[in-house]
Amino acid sequence: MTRRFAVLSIVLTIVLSACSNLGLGEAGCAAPATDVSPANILTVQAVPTAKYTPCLNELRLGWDSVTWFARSGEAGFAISRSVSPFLEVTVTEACDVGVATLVDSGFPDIARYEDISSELGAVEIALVPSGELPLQTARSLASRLSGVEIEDRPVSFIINDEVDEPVTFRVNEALASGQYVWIIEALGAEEGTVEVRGNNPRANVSRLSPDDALDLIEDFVPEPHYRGNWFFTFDGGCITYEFNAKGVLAESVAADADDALGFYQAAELRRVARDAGFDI
Amino acid sequence: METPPIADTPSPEPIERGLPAIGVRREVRIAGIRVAGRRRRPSGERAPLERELRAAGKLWLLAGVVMIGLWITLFAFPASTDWWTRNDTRLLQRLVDLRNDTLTSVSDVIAVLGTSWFNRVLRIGTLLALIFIRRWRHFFAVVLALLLVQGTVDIVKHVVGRPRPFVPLIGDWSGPSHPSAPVAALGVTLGAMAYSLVPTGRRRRIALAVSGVLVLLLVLAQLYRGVDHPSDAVVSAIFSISVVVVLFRWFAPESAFPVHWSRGVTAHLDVTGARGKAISEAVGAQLGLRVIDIKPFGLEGSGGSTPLRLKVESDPDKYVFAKLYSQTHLRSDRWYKVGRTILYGSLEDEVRFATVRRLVEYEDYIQRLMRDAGVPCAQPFGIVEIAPEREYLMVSEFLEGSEELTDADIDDAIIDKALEVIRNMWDAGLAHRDVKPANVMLNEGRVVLIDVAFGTVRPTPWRQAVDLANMMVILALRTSAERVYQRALLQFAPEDIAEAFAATRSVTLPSQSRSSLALVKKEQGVDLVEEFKQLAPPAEQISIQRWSSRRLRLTFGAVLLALFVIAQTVSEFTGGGIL
Repeated sequence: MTRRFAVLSIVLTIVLSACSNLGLGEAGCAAPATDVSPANILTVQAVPTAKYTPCLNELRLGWDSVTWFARSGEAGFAISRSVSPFLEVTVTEACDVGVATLVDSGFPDIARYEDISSELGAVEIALVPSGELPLQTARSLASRLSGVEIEDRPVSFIINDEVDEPVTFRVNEALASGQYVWIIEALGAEEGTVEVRGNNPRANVSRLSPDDALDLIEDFVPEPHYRGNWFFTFDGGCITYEFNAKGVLAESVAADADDALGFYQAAELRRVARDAGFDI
Repeated sequence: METPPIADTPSPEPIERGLPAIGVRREVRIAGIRVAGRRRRPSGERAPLERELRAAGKLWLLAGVVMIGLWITLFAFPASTDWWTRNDTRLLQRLVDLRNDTLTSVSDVIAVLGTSWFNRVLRIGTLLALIFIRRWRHFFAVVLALLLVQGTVDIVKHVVGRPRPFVPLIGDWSGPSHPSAPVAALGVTLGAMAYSLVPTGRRRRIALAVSGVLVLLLVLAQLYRGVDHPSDAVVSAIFSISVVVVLFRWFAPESAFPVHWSRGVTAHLDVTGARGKAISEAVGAQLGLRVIDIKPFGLEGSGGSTPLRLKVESDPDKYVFAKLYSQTHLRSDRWYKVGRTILYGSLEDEVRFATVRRLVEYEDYIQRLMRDAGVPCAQPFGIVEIAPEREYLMVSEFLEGSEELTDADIDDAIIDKALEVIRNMWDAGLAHRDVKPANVMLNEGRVVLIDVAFGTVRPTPWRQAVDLANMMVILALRTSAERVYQRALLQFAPEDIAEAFAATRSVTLPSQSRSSLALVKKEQGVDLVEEFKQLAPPAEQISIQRWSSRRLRLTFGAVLLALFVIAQTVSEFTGGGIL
C-alpha cells in the first residue's frame, strides 16, 4: 500500500510538473512587460543597484550552450562551444576597466571600454624579389599558391616589386608590419627555393622549397584568437564581456556578441513587479 | 490449576534424547481449552515479529506526503504557485519589518550553520570518526545520504528555477531559492551524524532534538535575511532529514547495525527486546521448546547470519544452536557472491537467493543432505518463522563440549575420521566449500562439519579436490604433512591428492587456514602446501578462474564505481564535492 502510494505520488508529481511552467528560462532580452523569466529576476536580484543586466537574444552558430549563474553580488552566463567556455558575461555593481579604451557604445547612458588582444584574418607573406627574374618567379609563386591556408587562416601573398630598393630595407619594412617574408634571389629563382624571414629568429631559414616554407611558417603562426574584455558601465552597475575565443570562433565572436547579446532593463522589471505587488 | 495432558494421537519418538519436546505433539488443556504445544499459526494471526509502522515511521510518512503536496502546489499550477509566492512574501515582509541591527547580527552568526565550510568540517569529522571505528556500513550510508541530498538539491534548483524572495535580501546566496541549499546541507549533515555516531535511545533522541533546533534556527535566520521562502526552507528540512532516516533504515538498520562507540564488526541483529521476545514465542509455538535464555554465540566467526545459543527448558535444561537470518544477511550474501564472482568468476552456484526463506530452505536442505550422505554435522531441528519473508531462525543441535580440530590432540584415528568426512562428501557428490579450522569440530570423538551454508551439490571437480586439500592442511597444522599424506593414501588415490594441491592457491585457502599456514612457516620454517605437493605425484596446475559475461559486467561496474569514488575524493580536495 505504502509502495503503491509512493509510486502514485511520484508519477503524479512528474505528470503535473511536466504541465507546469518550471525552469529557469533564459535571460532573454524581451521587454519585461512581455517576458519575465526567473533567470532575469535572479540576475536583477543579484545586483539590485544595476540599471541594466546582461541578456541573450539568441545563440549564434557555433555557440553550443549557455550556463547561467547568479549569486549575491554578481550574475551572468557563460557561453561555451564543445563544453569549453569562450565568453563569460557578468554583471557586477562596479568594475575596474584598467587600460581599456573608450569606444562608442551606441547608447547614451552606457559607456563602453575595450581591452582586446587578437590575432585574426589572413597570414601575410611578403614576397621580396631581388631583381627582375626573381620578380617573375614571385608572381608565378603567388599565383600558384593562391588559396592555401595555414591554421585555418587564408594566406595572402604581397609582392614587393620595388626591386630598386635594397632587399634589407624592404624585408625590415615587411617584418615591422607583422608579415612573414620570402626573399627570392636570382639563384633561388633558378633552384625554385626561397629564403624565409620572420620576427622569430627560428623562422629564418634559407633555400627552402615554397611548400617547406609554408610548413615552416605554420610552426610559428599563432592560432587565431580573440581575447580580452569589453566593459559596459552605467548607473549602479557594470557588465563585463570576457572573451577567450580561438580558432574559427575568434573570427566572428565580436560581431556575434554585439548582435546576440543585449541589455535587459532592470528598472523596467522592477516597475512591472511593483505593479504585480512585489518588490524586487 | 491442574492441566493434565491429553494424548488422543500417538506421539512419535523424540528427535533427540534429552529434548523430548521436539518432534512430539504435546497437547494440554488449560481451563477447558485445548492448546497445542507446537501449534500452526492460524490464518489472520500476527507473526511473532510483525513489521510495524511506529510513531516515527508514521511521522516521516506524513512528512513525505506533506513534501509531495507542497511541491505539487508550489510548482504544478500557476495559480497555486502565485498563492504560495504571495503568502511566502507576506510572511517574509513581516520579518523584514522586524529587522534591526541586533537581530541582523544574530542572524549573521546563525547563518554560519549553513555555510559550506561549517558543514565540511562536520562531514569530514564524521567520516573520519566512522573510519576510525570501522563502521563501513554507516560510512557509506553517510556518503550516500550526502550525495543524494546534494545531487537532488542541485537538480531541483535548476529544474524549478525559483527566484529569491521579493523582499530586500541580506547576506550571501547563490542560485535559485528552491530548495534551500544551506538548510538541506545542515539537515543532512546533522541527521547523518545523529544516525551514524550516536547510539539509539535517549542520546539519539537528544541528538536529533538538538539537530532539529539548529535546523530550525537556520531556517529562521534564512527567512529573516529574506534569502529563502518559508516553503523553500520547510521542504529542504523535511527532505534532508527524510533521506537520512529512510537511507539508514534501509542500508544500515539499527536492528542489524547498532551504533556504539567501540571498534569492530557488528553486523548482527539485536536479539533483545521485541525480537528476543518474538524468538522465544516462535520457538515455543513452532518447535514446542520453551526458551529460557538467548545469547549471541560465536559472532566473530559469522558474517552471514546471527548465531545464537538458546537455553531451553528440559530435564536438565539444554542448549540448542540457532542461526538467525534476515534481509540484512540476504543482502550480505548477495554482495559476498558478487565479490566471489569478480574474484573467481561464477563457480558452482553464485545465483542470488531471492528471499530469506529461500536462503534458510537451502541451508537446511544442504545440512540434511550432508547428514544423509554420512557427513557428520549438527542435527537440524527445524526452521522457525520470526517474521514472514523477512526473518527466519534455523535451530539445530548444539555441539556442547566440542573444540576446533586444530585445538585438539590429533591421532591417526582422528585423521582418518576427518578424511572420511571428505571421502563421504566426494562419494555423495557434495562440497563444503569452506573447510577451515573453525568449521571442523571434534565432538565426543566425532569429527563434525559445521557451517554448511556454502555447501553445494555436484560442484566443479576442483572444488571437491580443494576440500580435501583444505582438510589435509588443517590436519597437518597439528601433525605433519608426511603423516597426513600417508593416512590420506588409505582413502584417496595419489592422483586425487595431487589434483587437490594442484588446484590449491591463496584464494582457495580460507583466510583462517592461510594465517595458520603462515604462522607454521614463520615458527617452524615449513611450507606445508609445498610439502604436500612434493609428496604427491607431479600434476599440472589447475585453472580455477572462470570468465563469463556476468563476471566482466560486474568487474566493469566495480571499476566504474571505484573510479567514481576516486573522482569524488579528488573533487573533495579541489573543493567541488559533497564535503
